[in-house]
Amino acid sequence: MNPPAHDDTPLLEVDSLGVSFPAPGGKRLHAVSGASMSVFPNQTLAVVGESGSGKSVTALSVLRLVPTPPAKNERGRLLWRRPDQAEPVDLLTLDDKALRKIRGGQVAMIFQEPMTSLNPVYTIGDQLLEAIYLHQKVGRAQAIATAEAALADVGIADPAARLREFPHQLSGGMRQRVMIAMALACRPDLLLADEPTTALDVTIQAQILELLRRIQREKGMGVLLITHDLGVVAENADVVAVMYSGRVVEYANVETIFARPLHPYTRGLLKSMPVLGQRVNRLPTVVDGAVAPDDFPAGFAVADHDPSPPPVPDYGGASARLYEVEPEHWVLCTPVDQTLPEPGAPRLAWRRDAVPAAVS
Amino acid sequence: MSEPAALRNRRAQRVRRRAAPRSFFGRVGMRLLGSWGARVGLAWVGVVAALAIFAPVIASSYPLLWREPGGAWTSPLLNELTPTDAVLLWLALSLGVTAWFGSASRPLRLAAALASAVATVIPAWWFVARRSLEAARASGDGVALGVVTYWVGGAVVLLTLVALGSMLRRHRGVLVASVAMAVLGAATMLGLRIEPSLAPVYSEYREAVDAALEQQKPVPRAVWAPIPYSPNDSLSDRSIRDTLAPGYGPTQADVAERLVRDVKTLTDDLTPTTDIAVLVRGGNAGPTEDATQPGHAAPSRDEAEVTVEEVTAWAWARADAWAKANPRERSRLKRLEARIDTLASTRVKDRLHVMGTTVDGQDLASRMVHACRIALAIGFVATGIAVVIGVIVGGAMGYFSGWVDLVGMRLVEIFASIPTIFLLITIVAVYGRDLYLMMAVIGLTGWIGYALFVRAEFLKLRKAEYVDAARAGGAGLWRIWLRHMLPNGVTPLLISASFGVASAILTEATLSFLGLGLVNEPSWGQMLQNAREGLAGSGAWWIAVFPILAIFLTVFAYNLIGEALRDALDPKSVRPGG
Repeated sequence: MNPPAHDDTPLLEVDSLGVSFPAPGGKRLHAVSGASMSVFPNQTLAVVGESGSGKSVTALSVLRLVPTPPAKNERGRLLWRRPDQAEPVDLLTLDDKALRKIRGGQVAMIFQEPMTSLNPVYTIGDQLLEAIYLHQKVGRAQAIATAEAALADVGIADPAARLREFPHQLSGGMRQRVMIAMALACRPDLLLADEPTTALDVTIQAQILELLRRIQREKGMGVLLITHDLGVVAENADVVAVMYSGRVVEYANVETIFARPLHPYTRGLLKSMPVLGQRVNRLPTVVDGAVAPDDFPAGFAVADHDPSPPPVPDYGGASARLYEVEPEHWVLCTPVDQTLPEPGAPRLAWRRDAVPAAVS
Repeated sequence: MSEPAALRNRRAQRVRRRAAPRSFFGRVGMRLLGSWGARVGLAWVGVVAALAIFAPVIASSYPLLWREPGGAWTSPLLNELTPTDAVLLWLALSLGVTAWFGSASRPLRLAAALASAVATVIPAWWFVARRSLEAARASGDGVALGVVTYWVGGAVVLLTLVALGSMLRRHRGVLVASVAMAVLGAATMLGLRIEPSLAPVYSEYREAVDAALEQQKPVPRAVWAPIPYSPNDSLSDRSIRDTLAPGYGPTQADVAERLVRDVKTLTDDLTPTTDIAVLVRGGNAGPTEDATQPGHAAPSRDEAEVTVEEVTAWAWARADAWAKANPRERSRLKRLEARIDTLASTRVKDRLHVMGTTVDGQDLASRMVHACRIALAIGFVATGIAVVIGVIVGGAMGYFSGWVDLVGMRLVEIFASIPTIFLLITIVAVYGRDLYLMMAVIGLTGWIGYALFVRAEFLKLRKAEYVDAARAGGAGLWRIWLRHMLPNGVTPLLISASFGVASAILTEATLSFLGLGLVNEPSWGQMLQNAREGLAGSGAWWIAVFPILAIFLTVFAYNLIGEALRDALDPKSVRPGG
C-alpha cells in the first residue's frame, strides 16, 4: 500500500462545529457547541468524554447523519480533503449526491452495537457486496474477491463460507469484524469508529483494536476513535481530544495528555482513574480532582469545572476558545490582558511511531 | 474403516446442506408451508392462478390443432389469442422454465433464462408484427395511441427493472435477464393494444365437423381443448333447451321433446303430453318412460328410445293435417315448417357440459375458468396498487416524520372517510364499466391500512443501527427504503395484503352482482347475477352454486394464507436476530 503523499495536511478539520436539537419549551439544546479538532492521515484521534459530551454527534455530523431537521447545524465548518486533493470541501455545504460518494467511499463509519448494525434479512455477502458495488465499478467476480479479501483482512477464517451466512449465525466479535470489513472494503481515507469495542468483552476488544491499528498502518488511513475508555486511549491514540458539554476542552498528543493535563476537567477525569496497587477507601470522582494546575500557562485563564449535567451552554465561558497555550497543547480557556486572533481548528500531525507508515 | 468414515462424511455433508442458512423470509416460508391451512390455501390459489393463466388453452371453441382433409396443420386457438392471453402464457412459461432450473448450476440457469427470454421475445415480436400489420390495414386510428402506450409501458418496465435490480442482488444476472425479457415482451404486446380484428365465429370449427359427418365426408382431424367451448359461445342450443344441467346434452330426447312442444304450441294443441313415445308411436310405447321424461338429460342408449327421425315424421304428419284444417294460416304454416326443418336438421351430438350451461346457453365450466382471471387480476392488481401507495405514503410518513407525517395522516383521514362501494357505483355510472378503472378505484381507496402499518414500522426502523450503517455507507433514499427498511418491516403488510386480496375479490363480486360489473368478460359475481334469472325460470341451481363455491373457496383460501402468515411471522416464534 502506498502511504499517503501529504502526511502533514489534515484529512479532516472540524472547525467550531455547533449542532443543536429542539428541546421542550421551544428552546434548543446545544449538543455540540464549538468543537474543533483535526485528523491527519495515518493518525488516530481519540475523542474522549462522558456520555452526552457530543462525541457521537460530532462523528455523525461528519457524514451528516444527524437528521436535519430536527437537528440544526448552528455554525462551523467540516473541511474534508483527500490526500491527493488540493482544495478542501466543506462537508456541511455538499449536496446529497456528492455526500453519498464520500459516505462509505472516502469516509467510513463503524458503530457501537455489532449486534444490530447488520441487516438481519441479508447474508454477510449481500451486505459486503452492496457496500462494494456502491462505490466501485467492478464486476461480480471481482466484487466477491474484494469481499473475501476484506473478510480475510479482518482475520475471519474461511471467508467464502462466511459470505453465505446470516448475521445471526455469527458471534458479536465476528459481527464487529464484518462491520469493519464492510467499512474498509472501499479503502476509505478516514474511518469514524464510534465506540467500536464497547459492546465486546475485553479479549475481543483488544483483538479488534489491534486489528484496526494494523489495518491503519497498512493503508495509511486516518481514524477518529470515539471512546470513554482511557485505557483504550492510552493504548491506541496518537492525539487526544477531550470533550465535555459539546466542546473540546483539551487537545494534545497522548503522551502530553497523560503526563501534563492542563484543563480542570481532564485532570479530574485522569484523577478518577484507579491506579493498580494503590489502596484508597473511596475513589475520587471527576469533580473531586477537577482543579486547574498551579502552573497554568501565563496569559490565559481557565474557568473552574462546572459539573452541572451536560450540555451546559458555553461551557468554560462564552469567550473561551481552544488556544494553543503551550507548544502543541490546546486548552479551552480565555486570554487575559491580550487580544488573540480567533483560533482555527487545532492541527497536530504527531504520531506515536517515529516512522510515519509501515511498509506492508 | 475408510468406507464408513467416508459414508459418515457424506452424511454429515448432506445434513449440513439441509441445514443451510436461511434468510428470515426463508424461515418464514418454511414455517408457512408447514401449516395445513397455508398449504390448502396456497394450493387453491395455485389452481385458480393456473386456470387463469391457461384459460384460453383450457376452454375454447377453437381447436388447438386443426387439419382440413389434405391440408396443413393450423392452430386456430393460437391465432385467436388476444395479446393478454399471449402475454400471460409466455410469462408463465418463461418464469416456469427459469424456476425449474432455479437450483441448477450457473450455466444451466443462464441457458434457461436465455431460452425463456427467446421464447418470450420471438413470439412477442411475431405477434406484434402480425397484429399491427392487420390493424394498420384495417384502420390507421389505433397506431398513434399504440405507440404512446408502448413508450409509457417501456418506462414502467424500466422502473420495474431498476427496482428489481436493487432487490435481487444475488442471482441478478439470471433473474433480471429473464424477467426483463419476459416483461419487455409483455410490454411490447400490451403496448400495442390490438384486439383480434374479426368478430369471433365460435361455431365455425364445430359446424365444420358436424357438416362433414352429415355429408359423410372425412372429418377434419382436430385436437380440442379440454373444455371445447369459449366462455361467450352461446352454442345455439337454445332452440332445444334453455339451460342444460351438468352432464351430457342436448340429447335426442331433448330435441324430441322440444319438437313436440313447438309443434303443439304452433298448432294450438293444448292437450298435455305425458309420454312422447306414446304420442309419436301411437300407443306402441314400450318400457322407456324414464328416458323420455322431460328434464332428464342423461343419455339413454335404450333401443326403444324415440329417435329424432320418428318425431320428425310425426311432426310433418301433424303439420300436414293442420295445414289442411287451417288452409288460410299461411304465415303460421311457414313458421311451423321452418321450425321442424331447423330441429330436424340439428345434428344431435351429446356434448359434455360438466357444470351445465347458463341461461344464454354458454358453457358454465368455461365461464368459471375464464372468470378466474378477473378474480385474480382484481385481487392482485387492486391490492398491488394499494400496497405501492401505502409503502410510499406510509414510508415517507415514518421515515421523515415531522410535518410529512402530519400531512400524511390528514391524507389518511380523508381517504378513510370515502365509502368504496358508493364511490365505485358512482364511477361506473359516470365512466361506464371498466375492469381497470375498478381495480384503480379499489386500489386508490384501499391503501390506508397499508400506509399506517408501514408508517409504524418505519418509525421504529429509522432508528435501527443497520439503517444508519447503510446511510453511512452511502446508500440513497430508495435503496434504504426498499432494500434495508421494507424487508424488515414488511410483516404486517404481507398479512394484511393477503386479506386485502380477498376483500377486493368480494368487492368485485358485489359490484357484478349488483349489475355494475363487466358485461363481456365472465366474472363470478356476474355469473351469480345471471343465476337469478336461471333460478327463477327453470330452477337451474348449477348457475348459482358453482360461482358461489368458487368465491367462497378463494376468499377462504386467502384468509387461510393470511392467518398462517400471521402465525409464521409471529415475532415470538421467529426471531430475525437469532
